[in-house]
Amino acid sequence: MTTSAMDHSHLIFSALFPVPSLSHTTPTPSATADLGFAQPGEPFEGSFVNNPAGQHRTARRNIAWSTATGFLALPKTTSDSDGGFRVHRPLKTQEVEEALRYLLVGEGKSGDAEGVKQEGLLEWYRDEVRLHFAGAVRPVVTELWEKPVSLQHAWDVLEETQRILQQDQDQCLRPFVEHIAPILTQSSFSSSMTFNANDDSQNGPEALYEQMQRDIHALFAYSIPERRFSQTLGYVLYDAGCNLFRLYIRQGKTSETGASEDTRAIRVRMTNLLQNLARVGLGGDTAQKACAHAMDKLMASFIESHFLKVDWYSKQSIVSQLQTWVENGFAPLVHLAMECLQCDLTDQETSELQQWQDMALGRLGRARVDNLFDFVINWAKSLGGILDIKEYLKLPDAKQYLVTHFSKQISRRLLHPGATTTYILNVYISVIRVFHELEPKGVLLERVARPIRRYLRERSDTARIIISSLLTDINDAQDTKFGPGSELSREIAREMQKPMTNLNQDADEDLNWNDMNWQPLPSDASLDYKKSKMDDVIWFLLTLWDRDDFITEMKTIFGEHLLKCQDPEYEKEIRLLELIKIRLGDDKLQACEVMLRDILDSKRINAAIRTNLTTVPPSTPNNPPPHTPPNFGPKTPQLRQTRSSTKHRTPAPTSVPGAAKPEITLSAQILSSNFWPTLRDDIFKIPTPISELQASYARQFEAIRGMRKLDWIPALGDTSVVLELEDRTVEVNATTFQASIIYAFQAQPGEEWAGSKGKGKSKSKAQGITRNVEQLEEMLQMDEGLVRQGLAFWVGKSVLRESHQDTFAVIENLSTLSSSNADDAAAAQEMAEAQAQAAASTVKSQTDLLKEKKGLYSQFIVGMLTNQGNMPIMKIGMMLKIAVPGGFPYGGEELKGLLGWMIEEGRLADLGGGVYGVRKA
Amino acid sequence: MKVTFKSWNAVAFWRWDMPADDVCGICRNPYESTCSKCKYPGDDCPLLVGDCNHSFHMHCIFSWLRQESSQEKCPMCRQRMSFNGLPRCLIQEV
Repeated sequence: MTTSAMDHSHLIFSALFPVPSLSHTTPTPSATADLGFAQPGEPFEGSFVNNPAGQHRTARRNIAWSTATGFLALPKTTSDSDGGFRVHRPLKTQEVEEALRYLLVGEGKSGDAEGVKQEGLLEWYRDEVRLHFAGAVRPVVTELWEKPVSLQHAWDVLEETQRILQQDQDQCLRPFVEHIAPILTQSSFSSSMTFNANDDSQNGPEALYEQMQRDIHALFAYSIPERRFSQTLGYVLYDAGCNLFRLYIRQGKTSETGASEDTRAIRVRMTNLLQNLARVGLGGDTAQKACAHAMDKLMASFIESHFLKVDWYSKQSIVSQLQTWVENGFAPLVHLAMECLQCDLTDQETSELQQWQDMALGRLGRARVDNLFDFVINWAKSLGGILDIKEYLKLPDAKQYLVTHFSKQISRRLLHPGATTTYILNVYISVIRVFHELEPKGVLLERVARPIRRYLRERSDTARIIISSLLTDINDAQDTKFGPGSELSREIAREMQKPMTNLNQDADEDLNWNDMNWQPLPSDASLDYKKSKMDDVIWFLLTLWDRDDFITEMKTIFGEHLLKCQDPEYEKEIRLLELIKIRLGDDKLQACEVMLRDILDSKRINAAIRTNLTTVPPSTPNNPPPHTPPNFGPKTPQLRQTRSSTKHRTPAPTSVPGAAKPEITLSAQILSSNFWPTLRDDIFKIPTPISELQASYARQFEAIRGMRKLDWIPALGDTSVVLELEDRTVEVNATTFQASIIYAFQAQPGEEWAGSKGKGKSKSKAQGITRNVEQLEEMLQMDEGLVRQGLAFWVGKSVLRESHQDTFAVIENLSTLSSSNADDAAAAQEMAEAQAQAAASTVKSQTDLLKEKKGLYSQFIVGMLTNQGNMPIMKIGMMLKIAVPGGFPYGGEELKGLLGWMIEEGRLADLGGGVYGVRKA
Repeated sequence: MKVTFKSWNAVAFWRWDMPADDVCGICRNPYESTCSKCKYPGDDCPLLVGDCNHSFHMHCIFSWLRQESSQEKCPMCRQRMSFNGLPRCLIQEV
């Protein structure tokens, strides 16, 4: 249907513009000789009468025409061309020769003698070729290209197409070369001898040949779907390239066969194909573009290939390999392909190689940058990849690309609530190190790190983690301490190990006129760029915050740490303080210095008082009893004996201190109250022997330091306790409140007596002494919460068990313990450990403080809302910050909690939209 | 069960043997804190109790007494400032 429509439109078209192909004559002798006719608009008889010779000539021409066309005719259908287009051409007779000569160079050359445009033989032949192609060749080609070409057949299809077209081209051009051209050559030779050489150069046989060839090539080009062709060719070139460079990217069998193929064979095959394609006119722009695409893809594949994997082992950059490849592998291949396709290469040679180098480097760099985050995480091992990026940064635009893409990776993979602060800090340190390697000036780092720093500032636990990590000794810390969920960063601790450098950081470098090594800031530095010693990780961490915020946080953590610290020399702490003093200026760090000095002083005072206590025995109320063993000889076993003997002899433990006291080493940390963070101040009764010891210690202290007194803080401190049970001895390090609780489980005077005498020894011993929570609260005057925490601790240690609800008993004998009790103990141990962690913090947390000051805040809020009407939560927070003495150091969440509590109390009402008001009665 | 303590690390705050929660009349800092010039509290920045029973940081009261306008009087009660057993000349030296 489409063809008929096509024909129709052709007919209409040709009615207006005569097209040779439509008036094409079939070269059969049966065609009646055209006797000519009058052209429209011409006097009907004029030509006929005035031109009798023309009349004759026309007849003669027609005869010659029939002969020549019959001779030159080409097959019109595929069936004719079966057997490889071999056509049995009739023998070239004299008659044909003459007819050709007559039509080509003789009088019959063209029929325009009478002003009538008649078809010349050359034009006819051109049409003949066209028709031949349409009839005999195009169907074959179309069949090949009808469907998308599968990759496996790409080579074959191209080669087959090329073969067909080549044959066709030969077939069409041979008559021209053999029969037409010689005549024309002869004629032009003779005519050029006489005149008009210029004219002939255009219409000479060579020009005609070229024109003919061009026509044929155009036919070929239009017969093949251009897009599909270029894709196929592109694939073939790419495939060849992959094989040549042994890139095994394709899947399936082809890759294996491709691998085994000899590269030389492939090179030859490709060269031939390209050359042949160029010969049949398929090597033009399309092929060039296809080639460009293929080479482009080839380069990309090479960069992704195993040749250019990151060098994880020897940690070298692989850029030099890439450059060698581009120079010795890629460029020659491109040149070869272009040469085969007969492209003009002259104008590109020089700069092109450099361009390719840059292009390849750019791609490699971008591919590396896309994985930069992983390199950062695996820093040190990933040095090879980083060095690649370093090379890449020499290109223009590379920095911009790196910054934007790395920032994206960071915000997607790092700065989300799922990442722990420790993790972020560790990554940040890696980022610092990586970028120090990438660009020592630090401009890039500054840009990249800005979001990380901002995010870290927002996290509340950042400062705590940094400072406590700085204070951790990496050498004696167990591995578990730095576990994934831990709050200590191994990286920071390791940084602390490094010797301190660049102490004169604060010197104003711009005003140092004598600095002969001065250099201007990098041109791409931002306004707030600060020159820094890039490898100083701690500097980066300490400059995260405003100085004051950091110092406040530092005070709290430092204080807590000092109270817990076991290191007798406090080297680390002293060093950290010095370090921070250098970084942040020492004017604000008074509190920290005082704390440190308190601790050091306490050590001296302890030593002094201890010598006093031993050398001046009268200071203690009770002299050591005579049976105390001498200080010589093996100590421990004797001590145990002594103790157990005292137990038998003396009924009540309260009377024991006289004997036991010298064994207890009481040491104290004496603090300057105004400089320490708010500490725990739970009040309870500590064991009597200890309080007696403390009293004597205080007397000693007052003797040494005049005019001063000590206020003991029972909730702080730690102790090492030895429990002697019926079947075992347990030694535990406990906090003071835990120790006080277990001390309360000792038999009171009377109880012990009753136990040993009244009910019978075995029973009472097996049961152990029981106390309930209320009793303990009363005995120790301790908060219920603290009592329960302490009990849980001892249950976890399998020293106590909960015999009834809220009643606890000492486990004197482990063998009496049933398995369920053991399970309980295990569960309690876990709970106790968790609680102990919480309880162990000596400094009051902000939440504790909030609870404490709840009353103050709520009163203030009620007053404010009464006076000024309803307020949104933001404003309430702001007013609290301004107006409450001591400020309001809490955020929106805490405030919301507080307001919620007040609503529950019935004092406030939530009016919706975050606005609160006083509840009206 | 018998409980024995091997060691006991206690914590205490020291304070001047003065009425609690009082501040130096000059610098308004607590006695246990330092005067405005000192770094370390305690022995480095001791208190001085005048015969009028008003007490100050030593550095505070000395720098006050060195001013002519003070006329060597206690800033609180305007009595003549004197310290038990402390020669006047020492003040001049300090």
